[in-house]
Amino acid sequence: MAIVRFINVSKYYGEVVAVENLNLEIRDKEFFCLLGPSGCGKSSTLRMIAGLETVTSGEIYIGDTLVNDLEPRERNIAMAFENYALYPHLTVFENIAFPLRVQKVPEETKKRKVEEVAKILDINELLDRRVDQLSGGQQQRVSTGRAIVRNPQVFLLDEPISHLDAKLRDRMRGELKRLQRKLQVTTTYVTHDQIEAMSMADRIAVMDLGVIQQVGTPWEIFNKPANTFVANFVGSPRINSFDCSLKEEKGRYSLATNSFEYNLSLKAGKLIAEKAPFPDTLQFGIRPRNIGVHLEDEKIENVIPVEVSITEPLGDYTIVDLILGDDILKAIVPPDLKLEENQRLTVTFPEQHIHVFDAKTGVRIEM
Amino acid sequence: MLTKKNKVMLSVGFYLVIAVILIFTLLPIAWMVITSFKTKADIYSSIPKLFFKPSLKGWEHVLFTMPTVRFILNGLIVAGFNTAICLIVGTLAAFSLSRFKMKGKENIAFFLLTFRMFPPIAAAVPLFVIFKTFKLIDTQLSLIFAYILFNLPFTVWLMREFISSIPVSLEEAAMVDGLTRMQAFRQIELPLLKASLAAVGIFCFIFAWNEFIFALLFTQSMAKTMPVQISQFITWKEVTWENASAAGTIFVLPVLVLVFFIQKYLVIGLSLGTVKG
Repeated sequence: MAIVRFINVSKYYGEVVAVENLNLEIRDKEFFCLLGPSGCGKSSTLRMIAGLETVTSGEIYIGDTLVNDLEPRERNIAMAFENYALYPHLTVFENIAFPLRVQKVPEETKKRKVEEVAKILDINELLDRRVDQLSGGQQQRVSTGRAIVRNPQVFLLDEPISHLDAKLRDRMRGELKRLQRKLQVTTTYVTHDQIEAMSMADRIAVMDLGVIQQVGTPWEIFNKPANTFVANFVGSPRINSFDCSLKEEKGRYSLATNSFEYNLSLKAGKLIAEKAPFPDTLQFGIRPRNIGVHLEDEKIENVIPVEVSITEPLGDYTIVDLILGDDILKAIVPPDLKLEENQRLTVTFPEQHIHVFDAKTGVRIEM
Repeated sequence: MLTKKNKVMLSVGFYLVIAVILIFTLLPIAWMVITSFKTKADIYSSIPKLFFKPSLKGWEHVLFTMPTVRFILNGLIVAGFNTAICLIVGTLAAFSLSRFKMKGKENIAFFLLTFRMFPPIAAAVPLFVIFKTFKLIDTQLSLIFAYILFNLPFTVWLMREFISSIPVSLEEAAMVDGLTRMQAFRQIELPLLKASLAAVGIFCFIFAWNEFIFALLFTQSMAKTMPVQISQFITWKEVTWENASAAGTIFVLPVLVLVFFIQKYLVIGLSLGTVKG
C-alpha cells in the first residue's frame, strides 16, 4: 500500500531518450495504466519503479522511501511480465511459492498462502504440474499468482494479458480489476491496448516519445483529450479530424474546413477566438460515436450533406464511411439503421462533442 | 501424402544410411579391440583374420609392465581440471557478455573466438618457453594451462549463446522476487543450463583427453598422457600393434562411460535453445 512518485525522472539509453522529465504521482490503492504505442517509454517507466532499469536523473519514491539506489528485491514490489517469466524447471506450486521461499517463510504458511492464491485464481488443480504443460491463460494466472502471493507495496504489470486470445483477454480484464479491488494494492499496469486501459484503470497516463501527454480518468482521456495525439490514440474507430480555420462574419463564428463549414455558438466561437494562438491553423475533431446521422428529408438545422461509401455492420453497432467532400468521415450508427451505398444523408456534430486543437502544437483549445 | 509402401521404403532407407554410418565409425574401433587380442603373427598375417586364438600379451604388457594407470590418471586430472575451470570461468564470463550492457562486447566475444581459430602449434613454442621458465615442463599444470587457452574461449562463446537463449525476464522476475543477481543466476539460470553445461563440458573434456601435440611437447614421463604413450608404441624397430590396440581400448573407455551417463543432457544441450521463450 503506497504512493509512487516520480520527480523530474529521465531515462536515456545512450543518446536515445526513453523517458523525459517525468512528473507523476500514482495514488495509494489506485489502478493506474501507462498507455502508449511501443517505444513510448511506458515499459521503461515501469521497469524504473521495479529497479530493473537505473534512473538517469530525477527521483522515484515508493511511499516515503527514495528507491533510486535500491535493488529490486529491496523495493517490496511484485511484477508480472509480458512473457510470464515462469521458472521452467519448477512446478506451478514452486513458482507461486518462490517469493515466499526466498523470504524463508515457514513451510506451512507457505503452503497455506499458495493454496489461497491458487483458489482465488482458480488454478488449485494445477499446482503439481510443470509450467510448460500449461496453456497461455493458465501460465498468465500462475504469473499473477506469483505476484500476489506476498503482500507487496506495489504491483507492476507489464502487458500481462497481451498474448492471450481475444476471448480470454476480455475475461481477464474483468478478473484482474476485481482482484485489484479485492487486494487494494497500488497497481501500475502497462499496455498499448486502449481497451485494457480504458476498461480497467482508475486513471490513465497516455505516453508518447518518452513524455506524458495526459493523465486523467478514462472519461477525461476519452472526452477531453489534451492534444491530438491522445485524441487519435484513444478511441476506435479513430476520431475524425479536419484542418480548419476560425472565421468571423457579422459576429457569427464558424470553423471552415475544405469540405464543410461548421457554425459555432457565439460563446464557443468567442472562447476559441480568445484562446487559439493561431486561429487560422486549427484542427477540428469529432468522434464517430458522437456524429448525428439523419436521413435527407429530416428537417434539422446546421446539417452537413454526406454520401454513404460503405457500411461495416458489427452486430452491436454499424460503422459507416461517409463521403464528405474529399474526406471520409467515419460514424457509428445503430445496427437497425439500414443504409445503402451512395445513399445521401445529412450529419450533425453536437457542439458539446466537438474537439478543437491548435494544429501547430496539437494542444486542445478548451471551449 | 505418403503411402504405406513409401513409408516403409523411407524407413528402410533411413536405417540403411544409419547402418552405413555406424559401420564407418565403429569398424576401426572394433578392429582395434580385436587386434588387442591378437598375437604378432596374426596381426601381420597377409589376410586379415577374423577368427584366431586370442592372446592377452598386449593387455598384459599395457596393464602390468607399463605405468598405464598413471597415464590414465594424468589424463583424467588434466581433462577434469581443464573442464571444471573452463565451465566455471567460462560460464561466468559468458553470463556477463550475454547479460551486461557494455561497450564493445560483441568485439570482445569475437576476439575470444579468434583464440580458437589460430593453430595450436603456433602457440606451442612460446608456451614451451614460458613453461620452461616457470619450471612447469612435465607437470600436469602445463597441460591444464595450455588446454584452457583453447577451451575457454570456446566455452565462453557457446555458453553465451545458451545463456542468451534464456529470456532475461526470468532473471528479472527472480530479482523482483527477492534474489540478488548472482542468486538469480545460480537458482534460476544455472538449473536451466544443466544440459548445455554437460554438452560443453564433454567437448572440453574430450579435447583435453585426446590432445596430442601439447602433451607430446610439454610432458616427458611424469605428466605423460595416453595419446603420447600410444604413439610411442611406434618405434624405429617395429610397431607393437597388440600393445597399441590394448592401450587404445583402455584409452576410449573413460570417455565412453562419461558420454553414456550424460548422453541425455548431451542431446538436449546440442539442440540449442532449450528454454521456451
